[in-house]
Amino acid sequence: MKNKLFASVPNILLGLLIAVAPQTFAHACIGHDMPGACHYSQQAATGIGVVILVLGTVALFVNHQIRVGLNIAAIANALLLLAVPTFLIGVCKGAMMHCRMVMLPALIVLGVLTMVFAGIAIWLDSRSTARG
Amino acid sequence: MASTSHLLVLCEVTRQFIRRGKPFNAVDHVNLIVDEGEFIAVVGRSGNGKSTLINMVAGLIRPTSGSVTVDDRNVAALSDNELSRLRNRTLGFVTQGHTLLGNLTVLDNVILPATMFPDPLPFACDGEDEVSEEGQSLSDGEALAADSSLPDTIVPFADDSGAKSADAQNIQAGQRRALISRAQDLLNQLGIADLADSYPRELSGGEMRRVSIARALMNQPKLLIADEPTGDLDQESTDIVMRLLRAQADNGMAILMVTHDPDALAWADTVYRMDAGVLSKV
Amino acid sequence: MHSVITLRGLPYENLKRKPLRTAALLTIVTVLSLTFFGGTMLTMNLNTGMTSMEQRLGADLMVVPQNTAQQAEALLTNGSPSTFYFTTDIADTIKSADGIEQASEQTYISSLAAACCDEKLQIIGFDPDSDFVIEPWIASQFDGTLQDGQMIAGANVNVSVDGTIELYGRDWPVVAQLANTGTNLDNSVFINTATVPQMVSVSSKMTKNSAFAKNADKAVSTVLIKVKQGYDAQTVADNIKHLDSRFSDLGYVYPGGITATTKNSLNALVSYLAAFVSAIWAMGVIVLLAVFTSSVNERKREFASLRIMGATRGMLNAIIVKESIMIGASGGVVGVGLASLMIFPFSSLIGTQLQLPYLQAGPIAIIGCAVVTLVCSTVIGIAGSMLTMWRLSKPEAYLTLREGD
Repeated sequence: MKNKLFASVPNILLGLLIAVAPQTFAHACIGHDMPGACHYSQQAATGIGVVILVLGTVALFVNHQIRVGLNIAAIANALLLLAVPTFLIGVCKGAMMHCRMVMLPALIVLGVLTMVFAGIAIWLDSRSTARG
Repeated sequence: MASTSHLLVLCEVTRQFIRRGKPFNAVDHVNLIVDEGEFIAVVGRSGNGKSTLINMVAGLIRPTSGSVTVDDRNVAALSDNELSRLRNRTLGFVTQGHTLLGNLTVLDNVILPATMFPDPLPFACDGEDEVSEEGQSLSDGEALAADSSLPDTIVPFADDSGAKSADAQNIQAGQRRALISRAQDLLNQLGIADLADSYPRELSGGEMRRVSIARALMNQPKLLIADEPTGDLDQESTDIVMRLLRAQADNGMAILMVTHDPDALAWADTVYRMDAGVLSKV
Repeated sequence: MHSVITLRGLPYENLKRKPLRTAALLTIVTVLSLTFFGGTMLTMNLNTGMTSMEQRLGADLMVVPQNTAQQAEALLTNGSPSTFYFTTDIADTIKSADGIEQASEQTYISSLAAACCDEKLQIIGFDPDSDFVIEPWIASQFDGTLQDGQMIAGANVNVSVDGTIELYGRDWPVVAQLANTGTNLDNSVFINTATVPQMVSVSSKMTKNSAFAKNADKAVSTVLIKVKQGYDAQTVADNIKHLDSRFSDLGYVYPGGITATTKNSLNALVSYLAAFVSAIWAMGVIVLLAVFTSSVNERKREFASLRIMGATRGMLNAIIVKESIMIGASGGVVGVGLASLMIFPFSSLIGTQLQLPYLQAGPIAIIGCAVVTLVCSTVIGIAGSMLTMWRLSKPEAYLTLREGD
């Protein structure tokens, strides 16, 4: 039970945050007409957040071996989340822009937390696998 | 030193406590000699100094006067390290209270004393005969599941250590196996083999008592000190435990047991009575 | 194969089998190291920013046009870019006042948003030969001479890959980019005095500011003054006002005063931080001591048991110390990690929100601070367990246990 919560709740909460944050408080730059890199990173992050949220929800209903797989997927998604605003799409270049100052770090922090929690969940679940 | 070939010599041992401002002797000029293979029981009402006496033998309490000599060594003169080694290798102590480590499984509790000092253990180097004998003598009594499995639990280890080619890893693995099988045997002989992976808090009082006996026997001590070893055991378990202790004594282990239990007394060679700190033969 | 317990593995088992106690201790140590590391990093960054700002504000007095003193102050600290100017003839007259050791002119022009996703830049025209405020700092990072039409960019300025900045529909070559200062200068580009008219004319064309365009050749925003020994900035300002009756309407900015004000609010913030961190530590230490003290009785039995089995006093101490090191070090690592997740990515946000010069301290300082935090959190763990050891090492401790059984 404890392991199940560890494998699901962090992903649900973090996935939700990753999906919601870029659309709300950690939004991309506003005020220019042409959508820039920030805008696309923002949309991609929301999509990834939803995926992580789904992974976390599914983890509530499956056995621990499948949960290990789900959390490996969550780590991959978190890596993708880190890559989107840094390498794949990028963000606006102005250092003082909101999307650079808030959205980028928020996504990085959420991505790192997702990986840490998924790592712990994998460790817990694989230990119980070993025990049989 | 060589003149005193006795295992345990208590000479005029006195321990004074102060109760309500007045000094009184909890243990009063006690003399006692215990040799290998002797099974001694001490009876007496509680508060008469029995526990103080055996705690002094184990070096847990220092005598006010007199000397305790274990295996030719004056316990009071030993350094912390020497005394610890003595407790670990020469003595086995079954305490009255429950002193199992709650964070370890039963098996680990029994094994732990064997891992404290690096020097080889009696059952690991030359103990093969003794242990199998011990199993033998036990099988004379009650047919326990243990006896048939006893020989091969030791043999693999002897093979491992005998093979000179074995590298450190192998030796370690061999020692590990030897420790585990030794502990499992002891648990087996005490009828609690199936509890090996349990934690102490899952055990009953009687089961815990038997685990502490297994732990005290783990390093094959020369002198086993037991404080009420059958305290919370039923008749059947008492018989199992006493038969095992008797077998150990027949095998050369000296046993100093404090007890109230008339069932247990019957197994001892000699019975002493402790009365107001004074020890006398019954 | 079943692995065998050893004394070395015992601390780990002890922690594992008491998950609640371990989690509580870990949480406390984590909070302690988080606040300590976070608080120290913030303080360090503020101090670094302050030092950097003090160095950037090397003038004793700035004379600026009428009604622009506030804009000028904002420009020095963390405000938005602005444009203001008077003309060189006024500047030249000002420089003739009594008590001036050194004087140099600067011109400030606020750019339009350069391109998509960029912010307004502050364009600063300065005279490399006479400047004593910016030039020493630029010289520390740029060897050559700033040619006409070239630019030097502040740390936050987005320079495109081909080494240019697009401003007013023109690409300007950037010859150097400066290190972070934590002040508004990071969002500035620097040009020499000769480039200023060029910049003014393209800028005024873009902003349709015809008055500015007319004065393109003689627009100056400020005269920076270093006063002679024995004069104070106020006196020199008065001297300037006496030169011409119109000069009393000019703005007089005293960077020393700004520094002092900023320093005051920074000091206030730092002392709040220090008080907060100390309060957390005081509470944390009390809770830790309480937890350790309350566990003494429970553990007395455990340690007596180990002693009876033959553990030496050294082995017991090793077990306790190892437990506390495991708790202290892992709590410390988690705390430093969490604090890092908050402080480093959000560095520029924190700087903006604080409205104070905020400059990330260098890696050595960060590593040093992390190490100190880890040491502190480990030491606090060990100190707590020292209490346990001390209580246990009292000779009668075992006796009471035996008699109590």
